[in-house]
Amino acid sequence: MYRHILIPTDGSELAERGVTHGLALAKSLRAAVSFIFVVEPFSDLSGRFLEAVATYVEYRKEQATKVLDRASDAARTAGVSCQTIQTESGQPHQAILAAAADKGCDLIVMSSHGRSGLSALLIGSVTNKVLTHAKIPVLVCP
Amino acid sequence: MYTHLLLSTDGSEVAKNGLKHGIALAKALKAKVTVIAVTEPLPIDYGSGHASGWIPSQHEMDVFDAASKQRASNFLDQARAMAEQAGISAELLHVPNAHPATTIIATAKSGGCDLIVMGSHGRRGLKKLFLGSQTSEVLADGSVPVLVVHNEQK
Repeated sequence: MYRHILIPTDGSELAERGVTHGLALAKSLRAAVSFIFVVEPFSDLSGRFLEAVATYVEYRKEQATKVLDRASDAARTAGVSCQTIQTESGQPHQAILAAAADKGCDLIVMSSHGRSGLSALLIGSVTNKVLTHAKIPVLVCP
Repeated sequence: MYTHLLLSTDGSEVAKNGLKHGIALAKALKAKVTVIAVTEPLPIDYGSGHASGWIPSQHEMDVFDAASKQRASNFLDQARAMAEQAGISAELLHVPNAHPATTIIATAKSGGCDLIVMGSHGRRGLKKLFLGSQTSEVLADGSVPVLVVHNEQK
C-alpha cells in the first residue's frame, strides 16, 4: 500500500491533528513519513516594514523548527521512519507538491484547515489547492 | 486505524481509481468495505406562469427508476469484482433518487464508517481546474476523513 506519506503542517492546532492522523496511518501501514513546514514570506512591502517582515520570517522559521522537531519526536516514539523539510515559499501548495514529487511520496495527509479559513463553511485554501493540483491521493482529515 | 471504509462510485473512470485505492487500503488495514452508488432523481420541471413544465407520468418514473437501478448495479458489480480480485468482500449499496454528497455523509455516519474514499471528480467537472461538486461538499462537511483519489494519468 502507501509507502511514503507527506504530512504538511503550519504549526496550527488543526494542522497538528493532520500530523497525528497521518502518523497513525503510517504506523499501521508501516510507511515512512516526511513532514513539511512551508514558511510564507510576506511580499516585499515599503521600506519601513522591511524590518518587521524580516522579524516575522525569523520568528516563523524558529516556530517551524520547533514544530518539525516535535513531529519527528512523535514519529520516533511511534517507531515510524521520518524526514523533515523546511522551506520558504509564497505558494505553500506548490512547495508541498514539489516536495511530494521530490521525495517520491505516494500519499499526502493533511487537515482540512490550517491557520486560516472559515472553519465551518469551506476547506482551507492551501488544502484546496493541494487537492486540485495533486496527482497522488490526498487524505483530508477533519 | 480505519475499521470501515465507505467507497463511493458513479461508474466513472476516476471513481474506479478511487475504488482501487480504497480496496487496497482496506486490505492492508483489514478494514470492512461498503461501496455506495447514489443515483440522482429525475428532474421535475413544474414550469412557470407562462411556460409549461414537464411532470413525468408514473410510467416514466418507473422506467427511470428501473434504468437507475440497472446502471447502479452495473458499476456495483464492477466494484464487487475488484474487491473479489483483491480477496476481500464488500457490502454493496444503491441509494436511488438522492443527493450524492448528503447521502454519502449520512451513510458514513449511520454505518459507523471512519474513512470515505472518493474520486476527485465524478462524471462531471472541469478536470484540471476544480474538484468535483460532490467531493467538495463531502469535504466541506468535515465530520469524517476523506481520501480523494485522482485520475491515474493526469
